[in-house]
Amino acid sequence: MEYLSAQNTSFSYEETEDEEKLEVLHGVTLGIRKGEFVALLGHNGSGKSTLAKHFNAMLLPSGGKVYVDGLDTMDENLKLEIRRRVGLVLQNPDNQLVASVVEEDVAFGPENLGIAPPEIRRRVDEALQAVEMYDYRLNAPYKLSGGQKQRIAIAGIIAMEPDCIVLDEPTAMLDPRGRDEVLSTIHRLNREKGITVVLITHYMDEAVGADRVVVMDRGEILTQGTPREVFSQVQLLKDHQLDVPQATELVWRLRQEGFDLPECALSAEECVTALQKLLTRDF
Amino acid sequence: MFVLEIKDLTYTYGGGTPFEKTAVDHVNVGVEKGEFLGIIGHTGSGKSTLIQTLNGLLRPTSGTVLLNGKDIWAEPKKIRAVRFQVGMVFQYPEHQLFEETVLKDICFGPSNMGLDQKQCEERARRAAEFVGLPDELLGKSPFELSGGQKRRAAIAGVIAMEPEVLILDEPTAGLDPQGRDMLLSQISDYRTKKGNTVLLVSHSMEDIARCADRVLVMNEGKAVMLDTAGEVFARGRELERMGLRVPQITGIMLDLMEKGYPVHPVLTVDRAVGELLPLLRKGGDRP
Repeated sequence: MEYLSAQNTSFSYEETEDEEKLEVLHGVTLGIRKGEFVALLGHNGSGKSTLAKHFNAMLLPSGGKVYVDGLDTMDENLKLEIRRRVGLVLQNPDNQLVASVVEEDVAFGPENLGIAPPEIRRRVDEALQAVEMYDYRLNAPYKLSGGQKQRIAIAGIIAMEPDCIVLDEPTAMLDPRGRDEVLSTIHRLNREKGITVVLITHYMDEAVGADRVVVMDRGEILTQGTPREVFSQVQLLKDHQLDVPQATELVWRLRQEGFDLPECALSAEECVTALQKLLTRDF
Repeated sequence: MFVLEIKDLTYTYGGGTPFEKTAVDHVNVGVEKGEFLGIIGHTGSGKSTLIQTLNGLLRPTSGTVLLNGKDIWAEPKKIRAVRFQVGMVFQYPEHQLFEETVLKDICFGPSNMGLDQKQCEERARRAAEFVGLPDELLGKSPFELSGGQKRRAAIAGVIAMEPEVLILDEPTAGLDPQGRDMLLSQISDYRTKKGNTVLLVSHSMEDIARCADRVLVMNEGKAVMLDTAGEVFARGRELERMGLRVPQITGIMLDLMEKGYPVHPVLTVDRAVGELLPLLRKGGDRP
């Protein structure tokens, strides 16, 4: 059974004085299996964040249904149960950290769930180890780098032991090293703990590592599939002003020129290997 | 002559305390008038501290900052005037919008310079045009704008002071690829049309590669490279060791170079296609 399920989901923001009702999701149907790693791509305004916020009942559909582990998000009584299952990590780590000591920050979530102190201790230690920040447990969050802070924010979610984490552009504010740290943390949690991941990102190279890529455009799903299936559709993505990884674009453009290259190269390595097969060394 | 010259500049946080940390360590950089200088470095490399010394927000522990040949701290009481000449756009500048209307917000800087209302509004409208904010938005509350529009409004507020040097700290952070491309080309246009100097701090090598004439690389408080973008990215392996990364396309070309192919570490897919096509045609003729 699908763990997260949007069924013909529509969403409109409330009308304001001088603006008409704005529908940002138009009947989206999407199912995500337990343990799956899904990357959600699209422009700002494509509806990808709006859709993701439906998966922990932050937003409720104006039409259609959203189910989390079979629970209807419209049922007010189930809201806590749903939030326990699906944690949300946002773009700016500074807006998500509340305490002045790292381990207290991580304990904030489980404390709110009313969990017994010894159990909280265990969960906090385990969560900090999972994001490889255990050595920093007594540090002040404000002294950490962006990537470290974001890992603390993720640990705070892990400590609530959710089945699923939804991350809304978690690396947008980080430098390349911070991006790597956060991304490898997410992948490890998915692999080792079987946590379902929904990753919203603008970075195509982050999407390449997902099990499935879903591309949103103007409130609808434009295309979806494995990274290879999606990024093979370079023309479609370009028509919608979406990027593909540079390696993919290079191979695609040379292929357009008539060279016998694979339909899709996802990484720099694949691209170099493919080119080497065609390039001669006698210059 | 240099419009900005940084001479042997050192900045130490918490001097004389156990938390003493030298964030900028004996840095020398000359910025040419009209130049577009990119500044890269990983978190904690000292780049943000460095730019804050350039308009006198931080006073160097030692060394000097010369603006048009004059030490900006020669007369500390006049440091405010320096801030009109060296305009600074911070990270997430949209958090600083506060006025009732977008127009008033953009006027805030020029009005602090003592210009009358008419002059302020003229400048504000020009600045709004530069960043691509349509006229009909100027009467709205800043809080009614979209994220990208807010960012533009905040940048217009600095441009409206018509600073000789414009410094932007991560102006594209959090924008989507389309918004990022648009903002960068507007900043480039602004530089071309006004002939003003632009300093752009970014984590994104792609952004820097697209716009900058020269690139300054900061690492552990030191200026470790200062050269054209092409020359700097050709040293991709060194950048990687500093926790930085070259654009993927540049990495591919570096890889091919290391394998002995006669290519260059170009910065865009267009250039890479241009270099590879003739080579592939040769390769195709192989018996």
